[in-house]
Amino acid sequence: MTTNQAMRTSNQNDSDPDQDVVFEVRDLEVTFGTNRGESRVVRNVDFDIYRNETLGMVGESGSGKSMTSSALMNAVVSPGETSGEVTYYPPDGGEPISVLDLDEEELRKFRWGEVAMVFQGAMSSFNPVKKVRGHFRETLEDHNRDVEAGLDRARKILGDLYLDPDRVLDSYPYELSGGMKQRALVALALILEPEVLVMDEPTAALDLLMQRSIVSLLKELKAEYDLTIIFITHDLPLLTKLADRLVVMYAFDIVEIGSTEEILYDAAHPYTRSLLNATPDLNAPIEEMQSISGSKPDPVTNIPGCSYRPRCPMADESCAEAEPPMADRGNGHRTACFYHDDVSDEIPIPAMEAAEEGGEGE
Amino acid sequence: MSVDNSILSVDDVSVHFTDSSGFLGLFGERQTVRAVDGISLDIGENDVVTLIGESGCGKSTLGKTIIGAQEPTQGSITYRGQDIWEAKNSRDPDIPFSEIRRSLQIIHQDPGSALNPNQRILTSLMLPLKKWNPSLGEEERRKRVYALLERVGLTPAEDFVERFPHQLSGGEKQRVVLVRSLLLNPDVILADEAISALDVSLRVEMMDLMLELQDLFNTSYVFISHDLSNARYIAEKSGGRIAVMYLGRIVEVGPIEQVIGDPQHPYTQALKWATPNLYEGDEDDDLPIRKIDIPDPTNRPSGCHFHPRCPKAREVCQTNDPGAFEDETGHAARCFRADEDHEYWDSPSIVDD
Repeated sequence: MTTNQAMRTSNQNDSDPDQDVVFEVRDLEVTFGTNRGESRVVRNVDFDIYRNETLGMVGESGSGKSMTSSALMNAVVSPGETSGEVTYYPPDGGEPISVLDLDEEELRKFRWGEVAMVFQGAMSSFNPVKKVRGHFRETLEDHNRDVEAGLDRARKILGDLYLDPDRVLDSYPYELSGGMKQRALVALALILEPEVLVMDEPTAALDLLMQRSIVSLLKELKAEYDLTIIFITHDLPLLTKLADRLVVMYAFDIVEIGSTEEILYDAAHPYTRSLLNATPDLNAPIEEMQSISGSKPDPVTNIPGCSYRPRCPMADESCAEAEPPMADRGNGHRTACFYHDDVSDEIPIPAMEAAEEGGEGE
Repeated sequence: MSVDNSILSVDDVSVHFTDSSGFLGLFGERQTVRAVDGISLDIGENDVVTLIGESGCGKSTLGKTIIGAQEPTQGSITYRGQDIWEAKNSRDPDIPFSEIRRSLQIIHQDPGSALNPNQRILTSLMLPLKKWNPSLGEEERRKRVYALLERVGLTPAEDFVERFPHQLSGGEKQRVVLVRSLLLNPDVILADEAISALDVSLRVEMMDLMLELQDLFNTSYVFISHDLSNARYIAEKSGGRIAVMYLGRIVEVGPIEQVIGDPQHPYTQALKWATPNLYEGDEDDDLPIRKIDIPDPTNRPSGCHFHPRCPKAREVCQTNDPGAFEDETGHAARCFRADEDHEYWDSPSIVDD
C-alpha cells in the first residue's frame, strides 16, 4: 500500500527493461480539422502496454481515451489524422510491427488476428439480419481459418461466458438481451485467438449486475487465453477490480500512470485525487464528496502550461509558464505535475483515510 | 410501510402490458408482462424515495404510475386523498386532474431530447408558466425564470436564456430541465435516471443541487437509478428510503442505512457486490448469483421470482411466494430468510455446488 518514494530513477520515457512490452506508444497525436481550427484530441501521448496485463484507461468523456485506444489499431476514423509511433511486439520475439505504417491488407490481418476490439453499444455491432453463427462463420472464413474448429472454440468461449452456446449461435441479434449480445461480442472478438483485446466502455450500456459479472468473467478469460486487455471506462470503481495498472487521461493527454494500488493510495496528480473524491461508492463519506469545479477544455484551444491549471486548486504562476513533464515516482508510477510531492497534503482523500482507519481498527 | 401526512399513496398497484399482436389473437398465446405487480408505497412531504433495479424490473413504469402518467391496470393512486384516475374521469373531483398533473413533475434521463432544439431556453421555460399561471404578467414570469436560473448556478441568467439547447453542456441542460419542473412548484418530482447521462465528475454536484432545492421548495423526489452508489448518496444525504425492485415487485425497502448496511434479500446483496468500492481490499470474484441473465418477464418463475438466480434458494422457494417481512424500523424484505422461524430453514437446498 505504501510506496518507496526514495526509488526515483531518471529514465522517464524509456521502456522498463524488466517488462515484456506488447505495445509501445510514442508521441501519439490525433487531430481533426474543424471549421473552428485544428482539433487536437490526442496530444503527445507516450506509454507502454505490458504483455498479459490488464491496463485500465479512465477519464471524463472527451478526454481522448477512446481515440488513444483506436490509434493502437490505426482505427481512428477519417478525417482524423494519426501521427507518432505505435509499435506492436508479437509474442516469442517476432519482428516488431509499426502499426501506423501498415497498408490496408496488412492492417486487415493485424486487426482481429493480433488485436481485437469490442466497442460500446453491442446493439449496433451485429448485423441485424444475420444470425450470430453467421458472424462467427464469416469472420473465420475471411481470415482463412478452419471454420469447424473455430466454431468449436466459439462454443467453448460462449460457455465460459455463461451462455448456452447453441441457443446463442442460432439466434438473431434481436433475440438476445443487451448483456447476452455484449458477451457474444466478446466471444466473437476472441474467435481468432488475438493477443490483445481492446474494450471501449464494453459495459457502459449494461446493468450493474451484468457489468460486474462481465468483469469477473473477463478475469477468467484473460487467464485462460493469455490475453492482454486494455479496458476503457469512466467507471473507476469497476476498473480498479480488474486493472493491474491505470492510465488517467485529462485534456487529451496522460496525466498519471501507475499500478492500480499506487493510483488509489498514492495518487500524485490533483486531477486524479479530485476524481477519486468525486466518485460515489457505497463507503465514501457523503459529506466529503465533491464534484470537480470548472469545465473540461475544448480540443481546439491550447491552454499554455498545465492543461488542468484552470480547475486545479494548487495552480500557481509556474503552472502557466511551462507544461509539467512526467515525473517519475518509482515503480513505474509517473505523473505530470510540478507539485506531485505536495499533492497528497493539499488534496486529501477522505474515503481512503476512512478505509485505512477502519482497517486498522479490526 | 406508511408515512404520516402522505402526499401520494400507492395502493396495491399493478401495471400489466399485454401483447396485442397476432391475427385477432387467434394464433399464439397472448403474452402479458407484469411490469408492476401489486406494489404499495406512500410518499410524504419532503420525502425522498429511490427506486433501484436492473433494466426491465419495472422501476420506470412504477415511477410513471406514481406521477399519474401511466394508468394502472389494478389498484389506486391517491393524491392528497383524491384518486388520480377518478379525478381524470369524473366531472367534479375534489382536486381537478390538471392540478394533480401540475403537482407531479418528471425529469428525464436525456436532457438533450427533453428540450425543444428550436426554442431558446427562455421560451422553453416561459411556456409552462404561461400555461399554468396565466395571471402572471410577462415581466413577472421572466423574473421568476431568471431568479431560479441564478439559483441553480446558470449565471448570468440573461445570457443563458438567449441560448439554444445545443449551446449548453449536458450538465447545464439538466439544470434547465430541473428549473423547468420547479417553476411549477410541484409536490413531487420524478427524476428518472436524471444524472446517469452526466460525467462522473459532475454527478455529485447535480445531486447536491437537487437536494438543496428540495429544502427551498419543499418538494419530494422519486429518484430512479440503476446505480446503487448514486442511489445511496442521494438517499443517505436526504435521510430517504430505498426500494429495490425485481421483476415488477419491491423485494426490499427501508431506510438506506439498513438496506445497504444490512441487506436481507439475496438480490440486494448481489447488487451490493456489483457495486465495487474504491477502497476495499481483495473481494470475492465469485458471482453471488447462479444465472447472469434475467428470466423472461412474460414467463416469470414460480414461487419466489428470484429463486433460479438465488444462491440461497431452497425447495420451498420454488413453490411458495414470500410475502414481505417487515421489522420495527420499516425495513422490509420479500425473502423467507428474513423470518427466523420460517419452514425455509428446514427445506433442502436446490443449489448444486
